[in-house]
Amino acid sequence: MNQPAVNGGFAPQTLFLGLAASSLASSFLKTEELSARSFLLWGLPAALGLCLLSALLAAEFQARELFSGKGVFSRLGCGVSGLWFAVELIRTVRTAQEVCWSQFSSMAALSVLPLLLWAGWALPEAVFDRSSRVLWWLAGLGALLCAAGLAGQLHWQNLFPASYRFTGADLGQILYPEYFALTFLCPQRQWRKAVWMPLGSFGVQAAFCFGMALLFGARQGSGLPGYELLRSWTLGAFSRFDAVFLLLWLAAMFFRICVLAHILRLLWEKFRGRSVCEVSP
Amino acid sequence: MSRRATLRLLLLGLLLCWCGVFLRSENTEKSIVRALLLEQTPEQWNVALLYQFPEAAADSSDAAASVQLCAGTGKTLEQALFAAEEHLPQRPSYRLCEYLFLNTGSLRGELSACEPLFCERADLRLATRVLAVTPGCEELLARAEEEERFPEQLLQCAKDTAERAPHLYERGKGLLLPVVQLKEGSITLQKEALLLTETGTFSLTEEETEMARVLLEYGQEHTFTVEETPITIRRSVLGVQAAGDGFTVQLTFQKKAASATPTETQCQKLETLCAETVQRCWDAGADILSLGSVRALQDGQKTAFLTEKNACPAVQADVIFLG
Amino acid sequence: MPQLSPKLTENLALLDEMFGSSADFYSKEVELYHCRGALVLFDGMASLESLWELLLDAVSRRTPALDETPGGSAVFDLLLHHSGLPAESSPVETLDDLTRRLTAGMAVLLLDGCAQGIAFSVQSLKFRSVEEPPGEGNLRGSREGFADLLRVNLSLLRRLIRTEQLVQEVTQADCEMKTEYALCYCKGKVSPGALAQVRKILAQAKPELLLDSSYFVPWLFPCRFRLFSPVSYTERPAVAAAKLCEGKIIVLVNGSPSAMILPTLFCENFDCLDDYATTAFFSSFLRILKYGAFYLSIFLPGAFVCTAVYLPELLPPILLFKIAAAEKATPLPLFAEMVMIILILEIIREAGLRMPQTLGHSVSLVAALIVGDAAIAAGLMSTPVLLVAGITSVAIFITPSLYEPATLLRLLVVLAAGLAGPVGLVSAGLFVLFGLTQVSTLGVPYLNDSSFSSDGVIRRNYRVLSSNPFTIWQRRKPE
Repeated sequence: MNQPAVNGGFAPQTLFLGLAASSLASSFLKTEELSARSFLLWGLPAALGLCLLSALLAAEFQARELFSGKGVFSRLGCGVSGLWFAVELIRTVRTAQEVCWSQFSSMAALSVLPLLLWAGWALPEAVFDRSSRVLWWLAGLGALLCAAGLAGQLHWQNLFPASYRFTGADLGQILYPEYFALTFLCPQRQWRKAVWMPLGSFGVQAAFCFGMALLFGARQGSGLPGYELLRSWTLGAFSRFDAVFLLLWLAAMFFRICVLAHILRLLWEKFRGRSVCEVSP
Repeated sequence: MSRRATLRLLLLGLLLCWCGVFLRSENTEKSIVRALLLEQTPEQWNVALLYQFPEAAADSSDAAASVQLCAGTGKTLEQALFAAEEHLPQRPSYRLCEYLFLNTGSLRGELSACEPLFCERADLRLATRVLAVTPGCEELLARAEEEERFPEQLLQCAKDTAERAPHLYERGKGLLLPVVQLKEGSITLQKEALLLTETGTFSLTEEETEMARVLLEYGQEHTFTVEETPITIRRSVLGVQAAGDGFTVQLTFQKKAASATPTETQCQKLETLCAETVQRCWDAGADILSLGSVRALQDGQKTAFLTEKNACPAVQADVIFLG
Repeated sequence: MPQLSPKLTENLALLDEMFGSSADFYSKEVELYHCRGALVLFDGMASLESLWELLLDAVSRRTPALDETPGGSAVFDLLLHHSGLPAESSPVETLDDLTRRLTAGMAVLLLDGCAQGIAFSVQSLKFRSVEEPPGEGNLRGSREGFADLLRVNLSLLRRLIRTEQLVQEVTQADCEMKTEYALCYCKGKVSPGALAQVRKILAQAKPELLLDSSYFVPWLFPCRFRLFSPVSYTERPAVAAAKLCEGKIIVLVNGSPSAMILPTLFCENFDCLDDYATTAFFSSFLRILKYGAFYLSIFLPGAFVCTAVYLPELLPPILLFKIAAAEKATPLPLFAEMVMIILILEIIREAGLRMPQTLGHSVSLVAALIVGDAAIAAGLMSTPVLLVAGITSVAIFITPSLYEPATLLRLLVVLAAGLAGPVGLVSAGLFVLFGLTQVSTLGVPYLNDSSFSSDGVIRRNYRVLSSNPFTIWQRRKPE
């Protein structure tokens, strides 16, 4: 624990796993109506804009050595980023706990929180990178299973409702601190992949949104809770599988908690000016 | 023991206490609710629950969980549900609740009330299959008290009918509800279904019901009696295309092996039945083929969206039998 | 290190002080070329008959004469360099060296007037013969297993790798018993840096006793708590030779047939010698089965408890009601019952391993009656729980090398799932994943994407594998 953290950087898929889980959470926790067309019209340009901004800021922060930990400006940058990541960590914990309580009537997410924070603090980045590959495989299997169970219920006709109501999009839900800390989080050779993370998050939310539209169609008045998409799954003898998908999602959220805890540790050490052993990319 | 070791032990103890505060141990002793029955009368709501609760048996081969029925009443739906749950032997679990029975007396009111309930509760879901039932909750409860196997038969009927029943979330487009009735003391499925739309509740004929199920792709096997000959269809594929001002509907059927091959006349009768059913449903306020969406896909924004408020477009059906 | 004295009496007195009270210490005073000497050995380790034959043979050869009464040094020089005696080339000079050689089964000739001794290899050590190892079964391939003697094991390896690539360094461990150990590697394939690191660590390790190669693990991989060990063990020379050809390092300890192989990958726990002797399809099928069995043995009890209690919709209703009925009839909640039965099965397994063979049948009968019949009839346990626990207990033996972590993890997962429900199950799963991905040795991660290589979960044709030989250092992460 007293050893300084080794900042070898995260692989983009490690960060994106957490972002995908968080984006999915914002999809199935929403209850207001959001039409698929609106989401596409608002969300795609915003995501592309974020990708561009992320790339530009990465170059700028690298030039100014914002996360080097040397000098007032750099420490300020680390401090502000640290605050944003801390807020994001709290938000992630709250979201996970909210889902655990509403779906499983369980407060156990709070009881495992210290263990997750400890794991995140102590484990090196390489562990998260290797773990994320396994979790991505599980996520892929889960997505395939989801598609198989919903396939018979999705109708393209639902995308063409009688009356189209233009709804806005909550842009606040698509901003994550990871987009603006690429120079700190990823090795330089991975930036090219990492700058597309906003588009990936948008893709996850869009897939969910389109899934809702294909299944339920446009509904006048209030929208449906996003959970209903998962609860509509049915395949053969199994009539309900939403719990399994939520558990996979929960694993990704817990993973994100660990990653955020580790990022906070790295930022804290930078802020304190402790030398962080950097492994060259 | 060193100070550091003591501190470590203390922290470990704190961690265990913290972990223990939020943990709990549960068991499987719950009443598993399999189906909800709702009935709205002018004065009150009646709710009945079909549930299973296994008796204790150390050797699992002796285990049995008979289906039972309990009911409750209340001024509101929530109160009636709570009253019904009071009669359950153990706390309820709705995670296996897959069927919703609505009394034919007040379908629209029941549907409007139950959807918010299903959205609120995490253990219920909008993908629940909806069926209509003619006897009221009281009658069903009385029957259950007379005959021990009655609740099980009711549940079995729901299971058998499941693939022909719509999901609750399809309410906006119109629901083709199978009707469960009590006939000569036993639970049976009525051949005529009810079509519930924004404009009202309509009863379809037996042939129209079956054709509507084909067009809505409910279930795989369908049987038509054409010119007094039963034709059983094992699988069907539906295709809808806009053609000029009207639409063509292509129905490709695979008949069951033992079923006789339909003649040209019989096919024409089926085509006529298809067009008539579409017309009937359109007039009732249900666009069962989503003709408006098909038109919107083809024409885009050029024309206004075709809805049930417009006159029913011409539908030309084309029936093909494979094999 | 105390040197030998030129005076024979002093040496003998010292030896008498050190070993005189031991019944197996043998000392015989002799006279060679009018020079007093003594033969010392440990009876039972060195063979007097072999020594006698050796000396008789040497006596029959022509030996140069000595003109005058020689001193001990002259006799030493004559015997060691100019006679036909098949003595060891390096003389014994120190007391430690003398002790080491005597305990290795050699006989040593000490001469008066010479501070050096001559050692003769007349070992006649009793050791367990080369047999098939009981813990590693296979259908095809070699049936030889390592013995307890280090030299025998080294010879078994040398027989299989008949090139100059194989290097076997023998060193004495810094422990009370001065046990010998060997570091084996193929010099063209091993990583020099990793080898130097291992050599250094083993040299600096100070185990109190060294009875097995696994005693080195805490020095090689210091860690407060570890679930998965990044080393594997084998008792088959064929397996050891195969691992050496992959660039790995083998550590053998005198007195133990178990060879430690490092570094190891997680996926290697799921393959065996038979894999390459059968068809690729069948061995791939078996590997998938093994992976499934391993994860089943860890997660099935916990998942069973979690789904039955918290997520009943994931079970067929008939099964669910049988489980609920069974739980209702027993006094304990489902997860407590599961923990109890797992512990009972562990006790039975351990008892089966340790008990005398003659009692085996009686204990098996009692265990089957108590657990299988009486407990259910008395309503203390339920059949679904017993079935699940039984399946998982058997399933783990498909990968015996992972038995220890699987047993502990199984308990952890059951406790987590029972107390924290689905959240506990997910947390335990994440914990297992971190436990696997955290392990890394000599720069090689324990869990890497070897599972998806041509010799991972699915094995390709051996001809294809041979065209692209694998070395473990390909999996090392770049620095």
